[in-house]
Amino acid sequence: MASSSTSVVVSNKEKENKNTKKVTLKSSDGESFEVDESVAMESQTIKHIIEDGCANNEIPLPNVTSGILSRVIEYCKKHKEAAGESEPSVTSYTSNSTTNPLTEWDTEFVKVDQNTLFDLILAANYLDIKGLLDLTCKTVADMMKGKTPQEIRETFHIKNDYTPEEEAEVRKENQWAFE
Amino acid sequence: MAVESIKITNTDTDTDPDPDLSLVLSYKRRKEDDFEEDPKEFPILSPYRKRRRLEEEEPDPDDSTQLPEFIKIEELPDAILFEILYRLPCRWALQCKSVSKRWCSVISHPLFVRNAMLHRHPFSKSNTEPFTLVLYHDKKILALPFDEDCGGVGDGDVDGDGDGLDFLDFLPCIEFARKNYPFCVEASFNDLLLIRSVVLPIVNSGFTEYCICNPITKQWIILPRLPYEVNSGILLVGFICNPDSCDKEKGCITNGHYSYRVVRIRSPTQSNTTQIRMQIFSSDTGEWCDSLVSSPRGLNSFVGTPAHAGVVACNGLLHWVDENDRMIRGFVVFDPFNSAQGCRYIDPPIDFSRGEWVSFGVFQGRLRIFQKSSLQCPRSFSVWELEDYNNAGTWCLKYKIYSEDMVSEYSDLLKMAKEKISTGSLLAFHPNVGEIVFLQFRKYIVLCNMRTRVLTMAGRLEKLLPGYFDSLPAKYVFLVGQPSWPTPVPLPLKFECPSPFLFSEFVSKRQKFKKQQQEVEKLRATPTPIPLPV
Repeated sequence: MASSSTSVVVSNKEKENKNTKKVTLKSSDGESFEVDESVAMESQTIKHIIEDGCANNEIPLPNVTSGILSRVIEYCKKHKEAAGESEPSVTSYTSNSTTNPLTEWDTEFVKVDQNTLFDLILAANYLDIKGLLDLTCKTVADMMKGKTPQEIRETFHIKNDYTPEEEAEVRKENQWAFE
Repeated sequence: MAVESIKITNTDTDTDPDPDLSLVLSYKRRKEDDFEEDPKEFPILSPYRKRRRLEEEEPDPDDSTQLPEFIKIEELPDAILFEILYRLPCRWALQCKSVSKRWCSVISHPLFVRNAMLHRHPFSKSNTEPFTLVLYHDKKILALPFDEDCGGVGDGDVDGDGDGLDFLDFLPCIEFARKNYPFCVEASFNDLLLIRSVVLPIVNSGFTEYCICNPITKQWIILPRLPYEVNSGILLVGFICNPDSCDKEKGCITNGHYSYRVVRIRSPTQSNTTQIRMQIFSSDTGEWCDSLVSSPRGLNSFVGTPAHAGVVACNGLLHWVDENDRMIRGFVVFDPFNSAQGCRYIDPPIDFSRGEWVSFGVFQGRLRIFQKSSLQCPRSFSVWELEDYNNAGTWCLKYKIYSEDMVSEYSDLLKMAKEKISTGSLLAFHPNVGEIVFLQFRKYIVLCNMRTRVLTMAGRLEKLLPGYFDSLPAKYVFLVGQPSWPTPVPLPLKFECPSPFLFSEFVSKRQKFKKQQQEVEKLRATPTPIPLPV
């Protein structure tokens, strides 16, 4: 475990197993999760709460259920570890699979059902975890790539509120994209 | 994937791995056994999806694992949908506009394009975008696409018709112009082309017409006509666009709108004139206006190198060559956006040979000049880059390549490089790789790596220049980029309409154009009645 402090965490190669500061996160359904502070601080939202000194007790996260929170914690842990193992540089959030060794893990991580995926997006947004937001949004975008608008509507249960004329108009404006 | 964080509550989850995951794993097994699917498809366990799925699929054994709330994408806030959609490539994002009205408004958000472009190239300008080298000569075009791996297409096949203009078929005037009028590709900027046609004063008083078009999106706009001039002298034409914020509140560049300028620069008739006449079209006003632009130094006629080198747009500025008595004196710099009353002047590099041809180009926002030294031995060419516009210009010599140092697996090329007849004139600088330059070696388009001095074949020019041995002026070589988001064509403002020539009507609304199309069809369709034989 990387040692941590209350200020911005700098990842380093030493792995000390003592005096690791922990915080407790409480999900919307009442479950509490104790995690290393450094892992929790992957979330900018939690980081600000801790830095503002309001984190003495548990940090309540009313927008995140326990199932999702446990996954998010898993993600943060994994990415924090990876950052610790590599050089002390910024973990690249752009998913460039040739350089990012976490890509395979990330790919497995997002193999979940649609609901969970959207929950993860909402959680990543609420907790302000850039890497997770990027990963989950990109996953959904990839689900859309290659599909016609009708297929997208079916995949995501979207109601078509265009009249046929309106839809033809929109299509025509960007005709080249459909060819 | 055991969850390592310690849970303080009594729920025992150590033996029971994450329930959702177990279903994912078992679903995957089922997937492999039962049916083939798109491997990218993620296992979806939602009940709706199951119902639509094939009958072979077994029902979900443990329904209690479904989350209590069923979140649909429609319930996500717009901001989240925005985050998802701008990560789509341009083509798919535009298709998604027709999914629903909400999606359309998210995609049409002023910041959408900007975010999409930043997402694709977060750190710097792209250096892998594909592009097309468009070479124009005598109403014929040769288009050589280069993909991201910089691989050329070999012969760059000019189409069967012979003039390579099929990719411009979406332009209403092109059919007529191809056959009848002198027209030419005047300039390019990003992925836009500026095309000029001149209608001679036969039936009417004649006019000059410019058209801005994007061959990829097939959008086009015709600029207000200019009256035909008998003696226009040598004209240099520059075309430039600036991304423009239409959203003053956001105060940032949105990349959704651009401001365009087309500048027709008239050759000074005498030497050493300090005022130069121009006609400038601005997309902000939708009109041409005549202006007299002052210059800090005397400018001279465009005969010679200036006409050969043309106008280059770079950094929001237009540049052209100033020459007198066959000696290059410097370069004129003009900003049509911010200071259209006066232009600036930069001197050529010190180690530059003023008596020889020069060609221009741009590499990633920096102006480059290319000069072949045909008069000196050993033969070589040099490339300078402009580092600073101040102090009458600070140049840096980037490359100097001697013919004798060139290497190639094509012995023909090496032979030509050493010829006395000058070969190896500039066609274009590679837009993504600074050390690569396209040269013309007689009928060949050659790719030269200035670092390794290796020459490779990139295309052939026979079809474009059947009997033509001179060098193709660099101003007729256009680098048409394929940015991740296509540059929009300017919107019409107050363009005028009517004219007896239906093919080049101005359009402001699609319905008008459609109407005209119908009229044209009607005219074409009603033939002169043939008297029936009795």
